[in-house]
Amino acid sequence: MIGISRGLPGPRQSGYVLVEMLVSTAVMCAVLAVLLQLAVTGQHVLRTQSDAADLQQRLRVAVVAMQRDLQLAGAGPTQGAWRGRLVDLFAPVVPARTGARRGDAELSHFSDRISIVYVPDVPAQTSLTRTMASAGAPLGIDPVAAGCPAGGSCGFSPGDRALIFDPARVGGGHDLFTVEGVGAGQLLAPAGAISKAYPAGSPVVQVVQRIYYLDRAGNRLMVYDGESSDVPLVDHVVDLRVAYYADPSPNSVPSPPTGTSTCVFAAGDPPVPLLANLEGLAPKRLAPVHLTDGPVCGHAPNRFDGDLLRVTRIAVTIRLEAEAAELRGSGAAFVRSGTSRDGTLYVADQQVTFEVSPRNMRTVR
Amino acid sequence: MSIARRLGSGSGAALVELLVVSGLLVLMATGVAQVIVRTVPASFAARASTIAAVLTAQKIEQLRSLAWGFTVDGVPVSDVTTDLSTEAGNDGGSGLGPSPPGTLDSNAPPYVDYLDGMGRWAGNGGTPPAVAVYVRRWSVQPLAEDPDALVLQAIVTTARTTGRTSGSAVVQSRLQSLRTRTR
Repeated sequence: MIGISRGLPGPRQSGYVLVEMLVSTAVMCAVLAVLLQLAVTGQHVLRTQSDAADLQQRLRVAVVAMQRDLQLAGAGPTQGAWRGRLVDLFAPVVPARTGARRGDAELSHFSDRISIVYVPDVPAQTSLTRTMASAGAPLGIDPVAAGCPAGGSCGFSPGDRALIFDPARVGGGHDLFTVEGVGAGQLLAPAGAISKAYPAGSPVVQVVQRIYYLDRAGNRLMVYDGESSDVPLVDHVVDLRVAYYADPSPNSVPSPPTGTSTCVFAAGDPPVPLLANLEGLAPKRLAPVHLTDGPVCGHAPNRFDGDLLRVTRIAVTIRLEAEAAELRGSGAAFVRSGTSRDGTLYVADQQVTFEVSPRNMRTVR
Repeated sequence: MSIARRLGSGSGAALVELLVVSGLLVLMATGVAQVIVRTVPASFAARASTIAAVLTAQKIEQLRSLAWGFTVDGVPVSDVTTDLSTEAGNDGGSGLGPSPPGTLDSNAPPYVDYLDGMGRWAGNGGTPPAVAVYVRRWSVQPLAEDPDALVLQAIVTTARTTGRTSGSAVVQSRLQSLRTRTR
């Protein structure tokens, strides 16, 4: 056999070098092709699975945060003269953005935002010792009410979010405010004017206010505390929808004593319900019109639709997308199209609907 | 002739060496491929578990939202008519009425509904529709010691092959809750 090495200097080698080279090159090419294919696939898997894991993690964060606050919605004071559920007096869940900054108009409805209020398990729960002189007057609170810690301000400190409400009847009025200062004589100074002068005995409690909403321009789920903190909770959220289910009976909201009226009952013997009868026992999904057409409860600018008092379940649908545009394709699996044209290099949008029956918003019959 | 001796003699042996090296590379590649092959299903399984947990909690919350209390006059109110196997939760079901035995183990209407891969309601009845990916079953049992207290249970399973009724189902999520009458 004639080898390439024949003309080269040095000892003659007996190798079949050309054939070997051709065969080895072919084998090597085949092996490298397989390895390269594996490398490409591995890179795609690494890229997509890490983004898929991130997508799931963001989804869990959003669901857990909202679930927790929704479960607590409507929890009221646990100490002091008035103890009970907030829903017996006003709507602790509102389909709009409330708060000191950029609040929506009262009685409005937005499917992509929800405001939640509840009283946390803190000692800052007391009541007014005297009727307010005016809506802008400081609040004189009882610093030694049952459960108040020693120190003269019942645990309130500047910056706290607080709630005051009229416990006389449903829709009697409520206000959320930030404590600007705690003065001598057990006076709480609200950061802004409140809607009315509350009578002595009105509960004043520290409160948690959470507003979840979809920032459509930035595709972010935002959480706002009603005052100054308005921050993104989860990025790359492409859809958020909130639905409300209510007890169909108009008598599911506590009725007033005979001969008296509230925003959801006209005076009568027995009192006449003003809420529509939605028929049956099963919770009924409320259309947007149900949440804006009255009866109207509360005091401006914190009025709300009376149907919110009989909400027993809230359904939240949230949809997230992959962070990288190169992992988003086009079609029904994507709300926002990306640049992926490769059938193996994409992460589809993920959507879930979770429901919560707030523990403190059960109705009566 | 051994490779070492051939190397020593300078007579080549490239083909044998290459085959050995190729074999090693293929072996390594097989290992990498196995990692890839196992990673993808694990990721899908994690996604399925996440959705199943949400769906299980959803059914428990639906059950918890049904009327189970007292009127202002102290008369018990029990929703035993809502059909939670329908999408809208219509009347015509059994609500919080006690479920027969075995509703967690088989598809027993109205204690079962089916959901697609996104967790959307896809149907009810004894047989899952073709688009069903998840099967959700639940039960309602009063406590022997206190009939006013209900044990609510829900599970979400998925068939090994989407849409099939046969095959061993994998329980993805299970939740229990206690519901009591409150005044």
